[in-house]
Amino acid sequence: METSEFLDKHAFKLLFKREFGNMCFLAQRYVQDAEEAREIVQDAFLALWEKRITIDPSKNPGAYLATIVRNKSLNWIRDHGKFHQQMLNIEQTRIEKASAQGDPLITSEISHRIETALAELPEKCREVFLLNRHDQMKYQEIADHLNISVKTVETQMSKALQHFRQRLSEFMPVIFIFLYSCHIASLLTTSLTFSLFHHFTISPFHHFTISPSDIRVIIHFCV
Amino acid sequence: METHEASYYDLLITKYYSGEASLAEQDELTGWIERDQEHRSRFEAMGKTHDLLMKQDLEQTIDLDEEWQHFSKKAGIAEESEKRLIRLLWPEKLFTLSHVARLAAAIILLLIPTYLIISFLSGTKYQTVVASQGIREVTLPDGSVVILNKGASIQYPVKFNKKEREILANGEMHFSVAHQAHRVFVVSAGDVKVSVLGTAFFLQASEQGTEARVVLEKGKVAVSFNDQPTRQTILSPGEEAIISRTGKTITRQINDDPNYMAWQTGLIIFDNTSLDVVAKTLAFAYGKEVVIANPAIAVCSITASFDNQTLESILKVIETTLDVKVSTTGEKIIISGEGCLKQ
Repeated sequence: METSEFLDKHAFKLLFKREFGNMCFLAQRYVQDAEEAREIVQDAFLALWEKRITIDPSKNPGAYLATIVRNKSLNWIRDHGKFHQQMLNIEQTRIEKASAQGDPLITSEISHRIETALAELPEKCREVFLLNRHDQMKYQEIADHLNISVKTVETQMSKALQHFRQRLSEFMPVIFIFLYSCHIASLLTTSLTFSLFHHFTISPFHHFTISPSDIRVIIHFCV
Repeated sequence: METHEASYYDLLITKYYSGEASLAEQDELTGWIERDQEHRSRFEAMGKTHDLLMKQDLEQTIDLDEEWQHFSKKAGIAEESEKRLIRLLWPEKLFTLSHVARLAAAIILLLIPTYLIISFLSGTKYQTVVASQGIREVTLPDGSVVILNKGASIQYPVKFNKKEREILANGEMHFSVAHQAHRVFVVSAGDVKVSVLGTAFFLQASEQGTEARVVLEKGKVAVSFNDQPTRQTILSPGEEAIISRTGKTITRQINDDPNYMAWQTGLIIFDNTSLDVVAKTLAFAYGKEVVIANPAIAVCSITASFDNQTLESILKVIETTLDVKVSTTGEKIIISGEGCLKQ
């Protein structure tokens, strides 16, 4: 095999197969629409392919690719009048926090839980949810199709998401916010496992509560 | 007040993640999130949920091969020239492992039955289910339910995102089709096509057989041959279509067989039914071969109903009622004697 100064087709194909899914995930976080996300990612790979000679092969092309995807996504949002700076900042912060904890990996356990939770939804709710997610229908289209109000669609979608949140809560990592810490803190973190809806009291010297939003634990030590 | 406010913002959060929130609504949402850490946590929890659902969906629907094909075409990366390269190098270059592997792959492709080749070329991800062990129930991505009798198989795309929901079928199976006005459900059994719209029906069609059968329970169904799509036979509930491959005909008639679902329901009803039909019904319901040794007694009739009985107990009842002899050798059941012809 000839050595090249830049990404050759073989290496590019490997990069494509490895990163396509991740990039779709990234794009969809911005544009929400799955089809649009896929197109953006295809365009991004095209742009990368056309510029491949200029890329430093020692640097990680994946990071460069992510930048292209992000920029194209932001452009798309702008072009479609959906650009909201504040909302983007909040979402960006959330994404960074989530990445720091480790991006979600769909294990067979999670996959099965999602399917179970889906089956548990009341029929109307599930129908609305599937029309939105599987059939890519907009709220208005669903309302027209099922002969219900858009408000009902909104409510059903919200109910569905709440149900999934509840059923998936144990798979979501918990954020620890240490307000005061003593050396005891490190011992506690390694030995604790707890379910998310209980109030624990360990000793007179430290107590922590789990908030109703169930992903935040505020630990007061040595108060 | 707290819960009311919470559910209103839950709505907004859901809308945001569906891409349906207006800019004004996003104003409201960001204001609410930044007002209180609890609100932010709530938003982040929903975001995490949405991430998981999104990832799951992506994993099930992305077909990397199809995506690469699409990309390489657009990029003008000639995959064709690779093949030409093999042929040019063939006589001169030594057999390398990759060349042989590619050739082997090409040969294997040719041997795969047609419908599999079609799915490979189109790139859509297909799911195949074979009821090899016994009766099997399958739920399709649109919520439709298919009950396969032993030996039956179906193939369907992992995600229905075309204009039609296309299913490939072989064997005996029962369909309960979910209503989707914008997407017709089409079952192809070899050369026979059944188009449905929110319906329940029974299909019996094998790739080798000369006859196929569709019994409609409710809804509406159109049966046609693949190469004659305009020649459709429309069925009403209670009717059946008998499709003859040899004569290329589709006959529509009232279904007078109450036992076509016996293999699944376990309920068998004989109402002055002649022995030859009894034999056929039992063979069909229990998957055994039932032979009448004395063809003259085929006209003897019986009235009885069986609810989830074993084949043995049913045969005993037939023995007694019709005064015949039933013997079993392996998978074959032989009915002999004089039965109702006895003087």
